[in-house]
Amino acid sequence: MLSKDSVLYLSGITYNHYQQDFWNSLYDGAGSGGKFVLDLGKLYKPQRFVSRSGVWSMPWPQKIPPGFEMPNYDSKFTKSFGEISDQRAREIADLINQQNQNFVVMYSGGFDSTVIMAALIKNLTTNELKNISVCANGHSMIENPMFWKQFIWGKFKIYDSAQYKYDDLIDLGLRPITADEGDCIFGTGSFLELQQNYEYYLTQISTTKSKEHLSTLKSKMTSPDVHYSEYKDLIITHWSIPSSPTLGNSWYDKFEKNIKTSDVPIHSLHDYYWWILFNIKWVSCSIRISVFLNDRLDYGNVINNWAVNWFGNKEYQQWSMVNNNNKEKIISGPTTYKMAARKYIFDLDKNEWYYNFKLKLGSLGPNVMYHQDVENLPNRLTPNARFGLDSNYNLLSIDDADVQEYIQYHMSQYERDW
Amino acid sequence: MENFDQKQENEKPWLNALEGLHRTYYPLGWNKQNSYTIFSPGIDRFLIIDNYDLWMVYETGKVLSSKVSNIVYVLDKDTPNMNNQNCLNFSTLHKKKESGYGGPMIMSHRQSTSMSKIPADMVLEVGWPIDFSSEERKQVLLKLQEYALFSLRTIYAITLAVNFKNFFPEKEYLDLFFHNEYPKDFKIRHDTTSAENGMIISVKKILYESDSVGSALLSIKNLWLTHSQDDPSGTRQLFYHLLGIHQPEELKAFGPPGFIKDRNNQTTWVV
Repeated sequence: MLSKDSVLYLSGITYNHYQQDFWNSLYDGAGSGGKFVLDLGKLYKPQRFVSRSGVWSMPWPQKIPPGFEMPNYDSKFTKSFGEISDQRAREIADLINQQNQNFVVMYSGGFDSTVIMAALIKNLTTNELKNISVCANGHSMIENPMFWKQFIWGKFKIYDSAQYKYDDLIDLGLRPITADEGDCIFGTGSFLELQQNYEYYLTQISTTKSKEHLSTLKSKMTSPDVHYSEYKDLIITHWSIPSSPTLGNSWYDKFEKNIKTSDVPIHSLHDYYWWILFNIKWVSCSIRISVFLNDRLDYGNVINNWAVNWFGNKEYQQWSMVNNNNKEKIISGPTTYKMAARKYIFDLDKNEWYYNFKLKLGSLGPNVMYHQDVENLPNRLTPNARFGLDSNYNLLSIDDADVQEYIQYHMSQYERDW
Repeated sequence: MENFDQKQENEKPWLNALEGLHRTYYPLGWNKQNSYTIFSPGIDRFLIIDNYDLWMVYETGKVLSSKVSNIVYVLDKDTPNMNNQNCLNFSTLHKKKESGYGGPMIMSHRQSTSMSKIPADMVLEVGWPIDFSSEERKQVLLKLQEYALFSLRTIYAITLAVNFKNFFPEKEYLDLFFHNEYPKDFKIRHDTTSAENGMIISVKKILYESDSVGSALLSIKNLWLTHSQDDPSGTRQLFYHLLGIHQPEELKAFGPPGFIKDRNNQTTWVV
């Protein structure tokens, strides 16, 4: 049972067809901060922010689950992405050799899960690779067809991600390896979306002077020479919705407060969007599959003892903090996004097309969640009804009266503190 | 369900071939040129343009999807004058409003080719894409465009050649109209060659998997070499004719259509 003082590990304001009526019903009684997060939830779906650094408030008490804290910023960190990836693979090999553990890679064909496969193929022996399986679906094949044909098909046992969720895989004794923190390491789809629609957003800015200023900056979004604040009007426009004209300004102020109270350098516009994922969305990216693609109720056990977050170790995070604006994460636009991953994969597969033209795609929606069979679950446990986890790893459903009361209470009390 | 058998002629839209929503998918019908395009959301530019056949462009998008994710747009509105020499300088202004799966937005785009119609006044010239501004990257992009144009021409050629010359199309008919209604051990042919999946599928697979125009042409030649020696239909000859290049000498040596070589290396009629 949740009480007013309960602390959460994960919470999501999710305007899906199942939850939207509930969230809409809270708006009139919400405090100024509550109205802000409800509006934000309509723009950023789902909104599951948990800050790991700097000042950031939420309507309810939240804390970071153990193991998902941000490491200290270390400007002297010099290991390369390739070195860390090779080392990560050797850690998996050690678990195979010392404990005979079995793993299954959640493979979408995108950069991050292909990095995992490439690292394992490069670094593990034929015998060690026998303990590795792949969980994929038809779209994984289509997303990276040549890698599938050359390196996966006929070489690994395959599980269909339309049929095997985390609980099914764990029941088979397989530890899922997920790349779900890859976007947090490299940056964000939101940045690419902004870049892709730059001209569109310019049309939404009313001040001619600002429009002219921003039109000269399009090619400098990843440049260390231009501070993100130069793009303030663009950011505000990007974070606005018609029903809440002040949302963009409020977002800008809140997130800037977070940036200014953190000790990690944030400079370019790309840094700004990277920081959203690396800081306030990291926890969600780390544990969302364990919470939403998993019907076992021992979430603490799954998160802490079974799921392997490939990019979640300290060194990948340190790499991420010291490699901004140096062409490792992105050079200029979508086909140069995740450059370090492109290089690492190319080193194995020599696929120039993937290296030069592959576009980051969203994996979770169509590839994973869409396929979930929920017919055997009671409504309150279906993924669309899930709200989050409390700090005892109990699943919170939007259908439960105590959860609704908890949310309602905190929404009504939450005022802007930025 | 209404009983259309009882209706008047003017209540049966299919009897008026010149009207109906379907005509908006074929802008050549109102003399608009170059209206079928392949757009790459990653490059954020139109990759190639075609004047003739939406479905050939769609098939090209599919074989190209192993190299670059793409959307086939039908430009059924007034748009700037684009062609294959300048289309890499043109982009769209409407991505934000195309949020459905398969659309151009990063988080909802798919690797498999999708199809869409372009809204009005939303194509604009924005210059060469920033990701390909260096000379090396420029050449990479031009190589992709050439491969796309080569794939388009090859798909035209194989589709026209097989369908105009194929007198053994049983596989297609049985798959379409006789599913689970014939003995599993029937020997069924796709076409007049001995290619297990037929030449259209085999050529598309080559285009999907090849690294370059040269390697694709070599694989296609080897495909004909393996599977068309005794093919009297003229499919192969028409294919190369439509592609616009000469048959390789090894293939030419198989002889003209309608003939095969007998045991004395003489050509004879097939019947």
